[in-house]
Amino acid sequence: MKLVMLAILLSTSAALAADALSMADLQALDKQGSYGELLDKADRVRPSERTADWSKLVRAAALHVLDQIANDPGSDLAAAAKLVELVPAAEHKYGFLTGDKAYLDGKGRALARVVKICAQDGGCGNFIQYLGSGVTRFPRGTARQIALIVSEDELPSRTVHYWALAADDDVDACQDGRLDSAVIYELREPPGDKGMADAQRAAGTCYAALENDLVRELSAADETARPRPAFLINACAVMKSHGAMTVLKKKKCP
Amino acid sequence: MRILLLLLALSRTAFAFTGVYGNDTSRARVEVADVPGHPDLVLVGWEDLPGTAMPGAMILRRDRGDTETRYLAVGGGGLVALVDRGGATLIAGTLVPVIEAVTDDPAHPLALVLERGRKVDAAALAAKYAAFEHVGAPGESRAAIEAAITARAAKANKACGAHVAPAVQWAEFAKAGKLALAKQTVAIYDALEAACADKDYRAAIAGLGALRVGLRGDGLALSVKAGELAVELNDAAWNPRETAARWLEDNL
Repeated sequence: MKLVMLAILLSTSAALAADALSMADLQALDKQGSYGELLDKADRVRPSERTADWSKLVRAAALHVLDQIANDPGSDLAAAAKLVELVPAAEHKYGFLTGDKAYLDGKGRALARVVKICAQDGGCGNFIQYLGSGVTRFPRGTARQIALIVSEDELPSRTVHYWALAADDDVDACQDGRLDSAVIYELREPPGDKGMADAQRAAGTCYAALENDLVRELSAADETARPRPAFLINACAVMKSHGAMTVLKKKKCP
Repeated sequence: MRILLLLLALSRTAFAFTGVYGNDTSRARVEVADVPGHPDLVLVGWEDLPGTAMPGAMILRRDRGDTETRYLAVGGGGLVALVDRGGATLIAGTLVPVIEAVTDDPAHPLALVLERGRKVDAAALAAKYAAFEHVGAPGESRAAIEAAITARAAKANKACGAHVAPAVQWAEFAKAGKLALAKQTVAIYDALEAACADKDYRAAIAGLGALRVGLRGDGLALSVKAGELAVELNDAAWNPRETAARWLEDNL
C-alpha cells in the first residue's frame, strides 16, 4: 500500500514538474500580450520562484484583461461572460489581487458594463454584489445603479457600501429613501460590522437629508441600556460632528 | 365549523373601523370618526382610559401591517394608539369587532368592543379635539384668542424662567380667514412648559427670545432660527401640542 502511495506521489510531482512554467515563460506571454493565458497559467510557476516580479506580472495581466473587458466593442453580455470567467478564478488563485487598488479600480470599470445589463433586466443583485466585492471606485453613476440593483435582492444593510459610493459621486443620491434605510439599518449593527465605515461616511455626507430619521432613531434608543445600544455607539460618532449639538445629542451621546 | 371560520374571515374585511368602543369592566370609552378628505386619518376621542390623565381627542394615522392595522398619532408622542387585529367577539349571536387601545403600557393593551347601535357624534368629537388642541371656536375674536395666548405664554414663561414672547403673524391668519388656527399657539406653550420639567431643556428654552407663529405649509413645522422658535400652523397641523413636544425633545 505504501508503495502504491509513493508511486502516486512521484507520478503527481513528475506531472507537476512537467507542467511547471518559469518566469521567462510568463514574461514571454506578457510580451506577446497574451494576458488571459498568463493569468490562467501564472499559478504554475513554482512557489519558490514567485517573486515580486511574478506578482507584478500577474497584477498587470489582470488589469489588462479587465481593461479589455471594459473597452471591448462587443456586446455587454459578452463582457459580462468574460468577467464571470475571470474574476472568481483570478481572485481565488491570486488572493493578493483583492487588496490591490489598481485591480479593484479596473474591476469597477469592467463591472460598469455588466451593470448596464442588470439595470435593464434586473434579477442579478446577488451576482453584482459578489463581483463588486472590494471595489471602492466605479465610473460616475455606476455605484448608484448598483445600489438600486442590489437593493432589490439584498437587505438594506448589505447595500450600504454602494449607497455610500453613490453619495460620494452625487449628493442627489441622499434623497433616495433606500439610502436612508441602508444607513439606518447598518448603524443598528454591531460596531465594527463590515459596512459600518460606509454607513458612517454616508450619514455624514447625507446628514441634512437623513437628520430627521437619525434623530428619531437616536430618540428611541435607550442610553441607559447595557450593553449600550449599537446605534448610539455607531451614530453618535457622526451626529456629534454634524448639525447643532442639541439637548438630545448631549444626553444620548455624552 | 368551516362556515364559522368563513364568516370570521369575511367579517374581518366587512367591519368599518369607525364607531363607539367600550369595555365592560371599566368606564373606558373610545370614539372613532373619519377625517373628511384624509382617508388615512381618523379622529379618536377617549375618556376614562387607564393611563391617560384626562379625556381628549387626537388625530391618528392608519399604518396597515401584514397582520394588524395600527393607528398612531400624527407627529408622534400620542397619548393613545389603537390596534385593529381584525378580532371579534360573539355577543347575542352577532360577531362584534374588538380593537385594542394602548396608552402607557404597550404590553397591556385594553380590549374595547364596538358598541353596536351607538353612533359617533362627529360634531361633538370635532369640538372635543378643538378644545383639547386649542383650536379657536368659530367666530372667536382675535382679542379673545390673543388674550388666551398671552395668558398661557405668561404661565409657561413663569414655569420655565424664560421670556419666550408670542409673535403671532396675525395678518396671515386674518387674510386667510383662519384666526381660529392661531389659537393653537396655546398648545405650543403647553409643549414648552412640559419640556421645562427637564433642566437641560429648561436651559435651552431660556435661550429662546420669541415664539413666531405663521400660517403656511402643510402639516405642523417647527424650527429654531436666530434664537426664535418658529412654528408653521395650517389646516393639517394636527396634534400641535404632542407634535411640538416631540419636536422640542428631539431638536432643541
